[in-house]
Amino acid sequence: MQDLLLVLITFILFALCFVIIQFFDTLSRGK
Amino acid sequence: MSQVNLLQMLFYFIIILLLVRPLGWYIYRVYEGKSCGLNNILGPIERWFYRICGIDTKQEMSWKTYLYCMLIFNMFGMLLLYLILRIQYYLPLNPESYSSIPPDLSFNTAASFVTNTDWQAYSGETSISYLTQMLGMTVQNFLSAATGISLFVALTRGFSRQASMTLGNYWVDMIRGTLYILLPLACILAIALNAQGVIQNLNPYQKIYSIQNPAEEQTLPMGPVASQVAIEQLGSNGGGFFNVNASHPFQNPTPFTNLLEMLAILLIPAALCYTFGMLINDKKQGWAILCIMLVLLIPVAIVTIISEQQIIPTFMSLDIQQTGNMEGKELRFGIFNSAFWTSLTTATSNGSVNSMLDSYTPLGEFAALWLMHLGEIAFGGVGSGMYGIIMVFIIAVFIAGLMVGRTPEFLGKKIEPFEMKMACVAVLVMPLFTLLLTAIASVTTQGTSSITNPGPHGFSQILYAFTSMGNNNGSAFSGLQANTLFYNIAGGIEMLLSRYWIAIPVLAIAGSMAKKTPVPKSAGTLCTHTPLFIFFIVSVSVIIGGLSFLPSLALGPIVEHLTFWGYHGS
Repeated sequence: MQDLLLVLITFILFALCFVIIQFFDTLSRGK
Repeated sequence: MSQVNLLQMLFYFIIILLLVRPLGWYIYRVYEGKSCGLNNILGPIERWFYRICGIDTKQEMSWKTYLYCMLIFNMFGMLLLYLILRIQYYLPLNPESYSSIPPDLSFNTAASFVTNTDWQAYSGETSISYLTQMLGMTVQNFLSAATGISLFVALTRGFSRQASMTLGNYWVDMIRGTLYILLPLACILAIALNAQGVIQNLNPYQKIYSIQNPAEEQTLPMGPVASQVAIEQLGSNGGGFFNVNASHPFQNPTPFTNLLEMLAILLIPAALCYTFGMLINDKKQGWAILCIMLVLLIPVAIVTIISEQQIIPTFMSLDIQQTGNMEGKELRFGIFNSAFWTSLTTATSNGSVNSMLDSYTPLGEFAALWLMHLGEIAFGGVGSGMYGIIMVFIIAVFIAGLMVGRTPEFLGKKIEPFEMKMACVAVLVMPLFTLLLTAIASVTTQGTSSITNPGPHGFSQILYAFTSMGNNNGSAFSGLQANTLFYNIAGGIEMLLSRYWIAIPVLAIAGSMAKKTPVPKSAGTLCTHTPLFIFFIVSVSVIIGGLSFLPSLALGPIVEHLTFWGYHGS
């Protein structure tokens, strides 16, 4: 159970990075 | 500080400066795809990798694609390491039959090694199998270091390219960096270390009986140490094979290995300054960055050494002759080599230690913390130190531009609001997570229960832990009981966020810069390699670090120093 939770946290953290990339990309286009 | 110490330090930096140019030139040729002398030997292996992995070397990537590839590769690397740690017991090369690592510690360790931090909440020789050390830790030592250099090279391409949408190919940069730079250097160093007595074997642990008490059985840990230590030092990783890291005689047996490992710590970060100069076709700029890094490092190193060589006020009333603070230091290395190592390892985001930082004087602790609080830019990690200092350059150029009424430009490219925003994000991520987690740990039972020395020193232990993880450094105050659910999870998350949330704005800047066309030089162009600008960058770095961390330092090492001398000193 703990393993699943930690793997999920890892996925979420990396997914957040993808979201931030998209956000910065949008920011760069609207500069 | 004696003259011999000064000469030793001078000797060290002369060797580094002599190696900067040839290695920097070599790294430049590797990333530019030019002949570098090893193409005949390593070229077929490189091409084999491309063929097997289906990599099109001609395919260039935008900054977003470059980051996606990096993140996906790192995520799967982390999950693989996590899996190895979790099933270690069932895997081969485990002569001591070590059990699998608990989930929270596996998460922390996997995050630590994939982010080049090498924070170790475990004890290597009593819990990790040979296979995990080699397939898990050592492999990530190579890959995380190559990732750092790749990101730096991609950023540099952003400055050197004109009206371009691309920054190179991540897979090509990774393979070339690992194969042509890290692997040959690590092989040479591992052989040299092995020749000096650093062990390299797969034998079971040895049982011996001491001469003093023949009935007493002792266990000597074995393992493939030399191969791991070589890349640990070269790649700014720092994760030791043994719990006491480079204090262990099997990891650092002689004064010569001590010198070799200290040289390895600074070698690639220093050489990358010259590589930068070559890549942007402005060697003066590369030398200026090297100069800034030395100006930031050397005075702090001297303070650390002097503070450790001072007498300890607590012992002043005793009738003993004091030679300085020897607690937690190896007699084989003495105070100078211990304190100098500490400065190098905290300045470079390496994190390996040959003495125990928890026993340092408050001023020595302050110096170690300060070098990390600068944002790991006084050399920093391989690649990450360079892109860290380039962020400071962007901020400094912007401030200087405002001060003198000139348009901010760096390396011929205009610095606009987007680049400034990204540079600020990159600079503020580390202080944000470090201070936030230190604050949480300081007021919760989960955080404070790990402290072994309450009061200001206990606060320093917490601050140091999160500073070290936030900077991807990995060194630790040995006094903090870091292997708890709270520290493992909070630290793991901090290491991941600090590594990638800095890398993202860095490459966003690279992508934005690559699109721009250079502005022709004019009388109004701000020259960024003059002594005046070097002084300015040093000042900006100190102000950013000082403003972010001075209040927390005042609660830890500063108050401890004042208490130390107030109670016992005169």
